[in-house]
Amino acid sequence: MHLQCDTLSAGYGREMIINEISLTVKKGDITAIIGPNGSGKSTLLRAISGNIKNTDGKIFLNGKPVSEIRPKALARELTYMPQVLAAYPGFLVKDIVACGRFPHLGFGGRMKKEDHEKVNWAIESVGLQDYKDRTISSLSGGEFQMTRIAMAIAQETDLVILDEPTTFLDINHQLRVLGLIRKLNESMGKTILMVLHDINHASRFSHEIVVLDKGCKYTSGTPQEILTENILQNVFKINARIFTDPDHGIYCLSDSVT
Amino acid sequence: MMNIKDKYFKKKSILIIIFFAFALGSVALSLYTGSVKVSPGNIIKVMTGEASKLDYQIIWNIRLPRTIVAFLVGMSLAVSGAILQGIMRNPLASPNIIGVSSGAGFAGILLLIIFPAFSDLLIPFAFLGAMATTVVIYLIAWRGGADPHRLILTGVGVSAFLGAGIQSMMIFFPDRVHSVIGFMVGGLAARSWDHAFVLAPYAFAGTLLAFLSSGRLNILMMGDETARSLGLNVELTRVIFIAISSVLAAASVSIVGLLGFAGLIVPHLARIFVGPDHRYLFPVSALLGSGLIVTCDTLARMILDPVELPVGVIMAALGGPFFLYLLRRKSASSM
Repeated sequence: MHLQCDTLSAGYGREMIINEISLTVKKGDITAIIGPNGSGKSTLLRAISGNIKNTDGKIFLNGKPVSEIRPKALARELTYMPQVLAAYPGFLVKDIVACGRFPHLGFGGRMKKEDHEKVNWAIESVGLQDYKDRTISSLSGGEFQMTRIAMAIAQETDLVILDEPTTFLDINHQLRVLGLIRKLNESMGKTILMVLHDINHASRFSHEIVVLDKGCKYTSGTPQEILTENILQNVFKINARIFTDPDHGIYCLSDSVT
Repeated sequence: MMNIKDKYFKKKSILIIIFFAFALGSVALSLYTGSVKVSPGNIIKVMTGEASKLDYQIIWNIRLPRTIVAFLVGMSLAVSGAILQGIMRNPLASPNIIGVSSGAGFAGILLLIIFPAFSDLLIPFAFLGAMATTVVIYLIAWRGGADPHRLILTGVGVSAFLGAGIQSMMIFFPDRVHSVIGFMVGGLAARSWDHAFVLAPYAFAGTLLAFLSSGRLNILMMGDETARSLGLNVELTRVIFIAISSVLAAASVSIVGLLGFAGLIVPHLARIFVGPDHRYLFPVSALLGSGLIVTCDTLARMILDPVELPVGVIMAALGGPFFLYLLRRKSASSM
């Protein structure tokens, strides 16, 4: 067991967005959160990553309440990649990736040789070695997203939380980013929790799917358990047909809205 | 900055050396220029203490303290502006945004117009006015955190309110207005060693703190959520940076008047040369700011000699167009 949320409720001001959500993210798994717009997916990730305070419930990381872990120590355990990153355009790729080392540095923030090596390694592992001296503004959306993932790799956390990592990307880069996330999981042994919009991507790239609806957990399970005509109809209000492909596993074709 | 041998690092270091030379050159020029010509040889003699009494009086008691005040003010305002543009993630942020100009202005003008008998207390009074205004803006903007957008809008609102107070005072006491104009425009005339000694500790402590925490500001630039996920205490970091920049700007403004423009444009000029990385942006802003104010003050003394123009006028009249020129030449994306 890696991350566990117990009856988590959170929102903005007095407005509650998520209500009593309990879920467990198993160590070594890729867990995808899906749900309609406004179902509280991003809010759930913000609450787990400590960006908003949960009004109720508890979050445990390896059995320890997250609220008792100091911010810098927590940043060595989990990283959270929000949908948008406000980076000044003049920063270089390697500067952004180097920020990932921040929680590992001392008070003065000086990078040691080992830190520089880890930054280089992170840049290489996303295939951006030829881009490391380029400015962020010269990158395409896909390359920018790769840079952010490299920053998460440089942060060396066991748990990586991503909010819609494939938004705004073309299909080629969507698959590249998802392939990279699978590599983080399989060859680097990281546990992944991410929000995805595309149900078929969630099915193909995750071990476990959590379905949110109207701020509550609707259900969770393996892709086989989640991709059913019934659930898609009840949660997404669509009529869909379910197929199985020997390479892709289970997937759906959405026909119409109900 | 991957390692010391890095080309990029080398290029930035050379730039810093160039700006250092510029700042030193501006100081030399400022000491040399004036109604009375003192030769470079005699200036050096003044420093070693073997000059004539007149040269000593002109250089040591008049030009040097004034130049040092100009240098410290330029450095402080530029670093203050660079900090604020960073934490607000807004290119229009300047010490005015956190109420330093309006606060110091209101307090200073209140003192000069309503309580002219206490005008000796202008510096501490303006300083407290500036700091108090920053605190008020921060408290009003706080709602479970001080969001940069809310801070900026709160700053605009509070400054407008204080501006109304300043204007009312000037309208109700038209006969005393001339005494405050110098303070509102910003000038360096008759700045002495006393001023330099008052300003120096704030200027150096603030600038040093900014240099030491430049990496944290880079992290904060990634946005609150990413910064938090990197383990940075976002609210604490922001309030510390606001405090540093408020002290820097308040100390400057209370001594030379409302010279806010330098805090807005110098960081932009510096960014055109070294980019947005605060590890380089802070030193270059500091050097460029001090060099520019010293140079502008030299020009202010020279242009209509023996009449002296306020340095704020020169700064805005020359700095504005030059800034626009650079803006047009460089792509706006590097801002």
